[in-house]
Amino acid sequence: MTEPDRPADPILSVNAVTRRFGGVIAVNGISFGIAPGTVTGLIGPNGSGKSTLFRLISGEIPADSGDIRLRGASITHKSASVINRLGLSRTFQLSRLYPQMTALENLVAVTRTPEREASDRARDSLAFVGLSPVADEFAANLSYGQQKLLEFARVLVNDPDVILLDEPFAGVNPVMEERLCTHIRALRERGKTFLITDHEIKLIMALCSRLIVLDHGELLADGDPAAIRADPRVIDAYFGT
Amino acid sequence: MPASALRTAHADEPPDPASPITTIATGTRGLRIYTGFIWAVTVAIALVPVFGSNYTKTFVLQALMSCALAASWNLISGFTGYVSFGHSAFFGIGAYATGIAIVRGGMPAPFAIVVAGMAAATAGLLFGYPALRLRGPYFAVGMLGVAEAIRVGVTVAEPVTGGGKGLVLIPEDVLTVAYYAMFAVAVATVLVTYRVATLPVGLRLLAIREDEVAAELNGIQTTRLKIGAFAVSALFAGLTGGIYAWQMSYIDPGTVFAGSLTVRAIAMTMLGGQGTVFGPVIGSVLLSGISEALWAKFPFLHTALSGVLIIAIVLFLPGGITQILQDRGWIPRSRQL
Repeated sequence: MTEPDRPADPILSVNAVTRRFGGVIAVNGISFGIAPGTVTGLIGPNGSGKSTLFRLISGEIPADSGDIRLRGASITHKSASVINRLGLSRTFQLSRLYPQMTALENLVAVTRTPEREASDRARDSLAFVGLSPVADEFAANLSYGQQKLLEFARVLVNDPDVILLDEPFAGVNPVMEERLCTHIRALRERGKTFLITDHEIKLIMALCSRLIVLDHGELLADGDPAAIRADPRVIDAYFGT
Repeated sequence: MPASALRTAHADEPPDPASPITTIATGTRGLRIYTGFIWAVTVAIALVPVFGSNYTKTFVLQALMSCALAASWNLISGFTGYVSFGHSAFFGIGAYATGIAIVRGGMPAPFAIVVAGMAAATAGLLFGYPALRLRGPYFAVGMLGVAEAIRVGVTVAEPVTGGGKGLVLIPEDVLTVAYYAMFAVAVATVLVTYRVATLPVGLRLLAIREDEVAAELNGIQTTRLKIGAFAVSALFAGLTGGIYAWQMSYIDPGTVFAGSLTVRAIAMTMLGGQGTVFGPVIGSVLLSGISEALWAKFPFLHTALSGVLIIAIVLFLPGGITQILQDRGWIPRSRQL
């Protein structure tokens, strides 16, 4: 396994985390650390534990054992809202917007600023992802790609340090893909840290400086994209021929 | 309600960038009719004690009670989607808190009614904490159980509550004063709803209704918000119950904890529009009027006909009148409505 150089203090660390659902071990003793200001890809076949790991890190479900730390402080037993307030935010595989609210309201609802600033902050986030023209449109009426962008804007509105993106490119057209990639790169330049899971391997390879590969709930490989692409175990489990 | 409160953005003027609440600029003519209706009803209600008969006063007082109950139910159930079938519990707690404070404690009625509100709000906090961990039908049935348990508890506690025989308060001719007190509580409930709806906190409550898990994962402190809304909802239901007890001079568990109080509040809110500011007002005005007309025309069938009406509302008007008017572009899509 190739280990790229990493700073000693990861902004997010996952230490021997395990989660079972009945008799199925969805995540089995996984450990890794994420350096601040990086874009890391989390890949693996369906059922490998990627989504479960996202749910564990974001506090949606508790870990059976192990420890998850954000900036060195344990968040293992914190609630999802507390973890979000500590600076870790996520998107979802299938957009979970508030469909009966407008795009602007979707952001204002979650903005943690005084009332007068909430709208400004929300409009800034919408402008960043290019959704200002549809600010007053109901989320349910937006195209799938726009909904993905809106969810991305909702994540950004509270200026988190760590952003988890769950299949951000799934079902998104090439133009939207490029826009998302541009936004991610711009935010990385501003010091934001990304952990991204997706099946669009070409995009992930181009975007990420490091890949973590899961298989059957276990960590299969961890390294830079070139090393992962050449790893025979990854080829066998995920890439195929 | 200040006129500016219902002001909406027009197509030829830029949106207020500081406003966190979206108003879509359509149906401004319909908006004038809508707000005109609300104002006309408010002024007419204020003048009823001056020009109306005792029958009219009593009828409108009951409609105001229904309006306050519906608006208070809307605060928790309309906004968060936590449909409570036990709202009458807080009305009953308010009624009995007032009755006991007056009869056993010798407290003047206005103070007793304040105590009623506080008792109901406290009960909302106590019951809300465990009950709001349940979701969907479990919460609905759980609250039904809470209301029933309190009713039985009040029935058993005969030395204090009078038990099944009820509690007789000091009879007073307070119809006009009680009328204005109920009017004040109904207006206050709607004003609080308006304030909630036009602040980000209202959007957070709606976010709970739309997708609570996503709300939590986006940093919304859902438990704290739900319990807070539940307590405020209980406060107004308790005040309503307190005024009812004072005006009626007699209360019994079967009347003030009746499930039909909750069902009517739900039906009125659904008819007008759940999670809206004026939906419960419109629903209570219309349903109270229709129920009274049915009672006058079909004295032996009015209960059954009212039931059919409620079923029809649930089946054919799930979004309520406000949503229909908004869908047709007759009034703007605004959280202020």
